[in-house]
Amino acid sequence: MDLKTSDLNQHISSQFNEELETLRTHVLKMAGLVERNLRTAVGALETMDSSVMVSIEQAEQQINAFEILVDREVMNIIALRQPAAGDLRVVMAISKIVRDLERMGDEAYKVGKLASELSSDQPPAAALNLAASLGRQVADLVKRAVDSFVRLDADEAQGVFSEDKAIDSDYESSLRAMVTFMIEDPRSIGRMVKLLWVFRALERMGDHATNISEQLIYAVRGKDVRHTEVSESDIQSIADE
Amino acid sequence: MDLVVDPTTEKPEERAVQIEETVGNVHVDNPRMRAENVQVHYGDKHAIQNVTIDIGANEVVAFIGPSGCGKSTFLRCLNRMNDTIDICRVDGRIELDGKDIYDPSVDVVPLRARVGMVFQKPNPFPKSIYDNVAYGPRIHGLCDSKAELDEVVEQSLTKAGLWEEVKDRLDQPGTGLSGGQQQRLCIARAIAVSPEVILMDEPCSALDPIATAKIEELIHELSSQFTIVIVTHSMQQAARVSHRTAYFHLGRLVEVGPTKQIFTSPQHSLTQDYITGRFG
Repeated sequence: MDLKTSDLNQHISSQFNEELETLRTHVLKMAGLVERNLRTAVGALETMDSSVMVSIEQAEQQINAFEILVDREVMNIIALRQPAAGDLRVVMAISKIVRDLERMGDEAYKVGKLASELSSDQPPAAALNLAASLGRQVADLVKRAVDSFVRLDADEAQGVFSEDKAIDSDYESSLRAMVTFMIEDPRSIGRMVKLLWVFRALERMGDHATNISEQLIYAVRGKDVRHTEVSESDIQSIADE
Repeated sequence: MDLVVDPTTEKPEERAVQIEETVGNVHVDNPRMRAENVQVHYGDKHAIQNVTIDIGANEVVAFIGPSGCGKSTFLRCLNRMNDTIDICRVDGRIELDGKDIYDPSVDVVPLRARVGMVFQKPNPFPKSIYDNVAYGPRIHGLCDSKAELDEVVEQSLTKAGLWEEVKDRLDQPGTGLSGGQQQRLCIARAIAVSPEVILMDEPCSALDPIATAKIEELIHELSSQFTIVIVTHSMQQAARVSHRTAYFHLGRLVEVGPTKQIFTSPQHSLTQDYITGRFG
């Protein structure tokens, strides 16, 4: 029995409906800021425009504030409403999703900052294009994860997993390309290392998007899809220790 | 397949739901009691429809559901308390340790000693604390001597977590105790006759949170020796004290399952709606 968005405003307590709606709205605003910061940072990789850092920093502040706000709201709902079943799963999922969003915000900020630093010591355009291309892929993945959260769409969230695998694969080949660039021009190693950090940050963002999708699937279906290699007996054995 | 319409909604056609069979596993490996296709009629009213459920030995099972869903009616079937209601008819089969409790040869007095009951409102007898607890062992002839009876009274009050509070005033009236103490006295009275099963019908609804917490702790402790079935309107209480939870709706057992699962991932939409406080 999948949870639907309409389930969240069907409580007898209209106040509880409003609290859940507010919580969701805040997560969406936070996610919107993360996505915007990522796209801005990726744009800076292409344009080498360091002036965008001002707006990225402002948004990053807001993302951090949203994390604190959502945590407070989650605590209040658990303490005052004692949510159960689908409501509990959504609230718990949100408490974990905001952590991933905050980390994604940090990574987007990092990409922006590295792009800003590289603007005065630019790597080859081909290398920058690779990074920007991966950045756009990751931004689309983040959007997909956020959209699946908006619609409580577990099927859509499932799609994020396969897309993240493609990103991981592109990340690996990009690293190989970076090594080639460094071998061809050892003087570029300093700036290429910075670009490697950009790739690393983007790849991490993909992982966080995957985490969001896992939480979303748990919230909607009550099914834990994390760490599929871990069996029920593995869990039981550490519980019994 | 029956179509059940929830009468509490203004647009019943929108709330029509299908209840085919009970969702979840109604059977357990080590049943103390088994109810099979139980039907209860109050005159023309079909109050319980086709309920099948096992009550496992030494487990705490919580019955939850909206008012009038039949959970208390079904609970009262488990020790034939409904026999006292003339217009009530019970069909189907209910077994205690494999024996049909509705068999004509079964005497309800010893049955109710084996399947004791604690009610919503504490109802101590207008007797001393000691006599409240000693009453059951006396009428069932369970003790041969005063010393043995003293021992049973002390043990029962200790198990009910009341001994330390009343040991110096056993001769005082049970009705003089606080509400929470009276309820624990009723539990002591129930366990004094060494029941196998204790039925509790909203045992904490008249108690404050501290007294409620003490009863809940007691339920947890007693579950090592007794099988407990509790009807409660407090879902948090069901979540806290029970191993399995059964959700009743309009006289039917909609879903039964491990409490952790019922409160995190219920399978039936009616269960989900009820425990999350949604319309319906």
